[in-house]
Amino acid sequence: MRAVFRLSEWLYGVLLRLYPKRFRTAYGQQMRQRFRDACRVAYRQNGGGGVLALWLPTLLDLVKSALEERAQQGEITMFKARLVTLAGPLTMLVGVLWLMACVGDFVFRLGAEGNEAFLGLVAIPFFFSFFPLLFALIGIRQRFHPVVGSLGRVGLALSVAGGAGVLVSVLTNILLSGLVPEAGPHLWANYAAVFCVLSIRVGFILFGVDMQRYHMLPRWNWLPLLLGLTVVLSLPLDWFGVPAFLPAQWATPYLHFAVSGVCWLLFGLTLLGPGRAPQATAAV
Amino acid sequence: MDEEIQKLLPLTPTVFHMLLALADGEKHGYGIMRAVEEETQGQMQIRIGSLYGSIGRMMEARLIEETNERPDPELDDERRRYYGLTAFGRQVLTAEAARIAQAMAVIQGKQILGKV
Repeated sequence: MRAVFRLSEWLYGVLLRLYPKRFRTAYGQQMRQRFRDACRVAYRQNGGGGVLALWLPTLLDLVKSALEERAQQGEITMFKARLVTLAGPLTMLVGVLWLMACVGDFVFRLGAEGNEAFLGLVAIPFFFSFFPLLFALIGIRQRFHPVVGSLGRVGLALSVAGGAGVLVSVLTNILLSGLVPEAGPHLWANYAAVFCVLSIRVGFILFGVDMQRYHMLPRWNWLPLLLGLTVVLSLPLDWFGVPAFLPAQWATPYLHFAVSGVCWLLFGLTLLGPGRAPQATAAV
Repeated sequence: MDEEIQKLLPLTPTVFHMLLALADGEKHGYGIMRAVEEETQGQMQIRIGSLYGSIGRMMEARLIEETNERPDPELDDERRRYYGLTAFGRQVLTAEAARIAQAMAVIQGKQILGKV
């Protein structure tokens, strides 16, 4: 039983890091002690199951109150402001990772490295790009949400939701494969990931249409629309199938990574520049 | 002072019940949690994170303060910190109780709860 207490207390101590440092310094020790007391009472009343049952409400309360404390100390606002600044470099990083995947794909298709491990190396930069991409998308939304029209707002929301969704579905897939290996591949998680990637692209198409109207980037206002439209290079292949002998089978995934990677890179570059006040061209 | 008290009213249920729990003497964090749960017949449970967040804000608002007294130092863990009402906290609690009593009078007058 001591092991359960120790593990619970250790985990609670780790989770306390979610609170701002000042709050942790003032109350961290007491909170650990209270949690230990609550664990003892729960165990006395309902055994090991009682300790486990204590965890769910404790976890929900911890996340909620940690967010409240961070908001109280202005840290969330600061974090959002930092994301706006970081959106440019993060988007450029996404572009670099996609270009790496593109080069890997190219080498793989040339047959220079014809093994499964190399295919993994192609997928790794692509998968990891979704971490900086999510934060970049949040930063982009923070920056443009107040100045775009309703179409652009829907687009930005779709892209952020898609970015979060890709990570959740891929991580769920990995977790389920680890926990229930006998269940085989979880196709629904793969479909969810594809759907979320599509959501990012559709979001960028909508955002891109608004960018054409308001011209809020210092240059290359067509980039968000192009970024959204590059989806046509990848999805028709997956959905409708293209015969293997056609060059399109070989070229389109490569082109998809290449064009998207260059677009992310250039878009990140434009985000480094100062924003413009909205200049409506369509509205009269 | 009255204006300062009025600014804080109405209190949130958590703050009100925490002040109420401290009205009959100093308590440590876990004691406050237990007292609130008992006094509300289990209808309100304050979790650890919310408890210390509220304690921090109530100390900033000067409603409660940390006390050095221990009910029985021999029996108690010396690392526990005790909290008690400040004079201002007691005034705020009284004002809130009066506000609730006034509302209760209206409730009774309109027989919302049936004939009591």
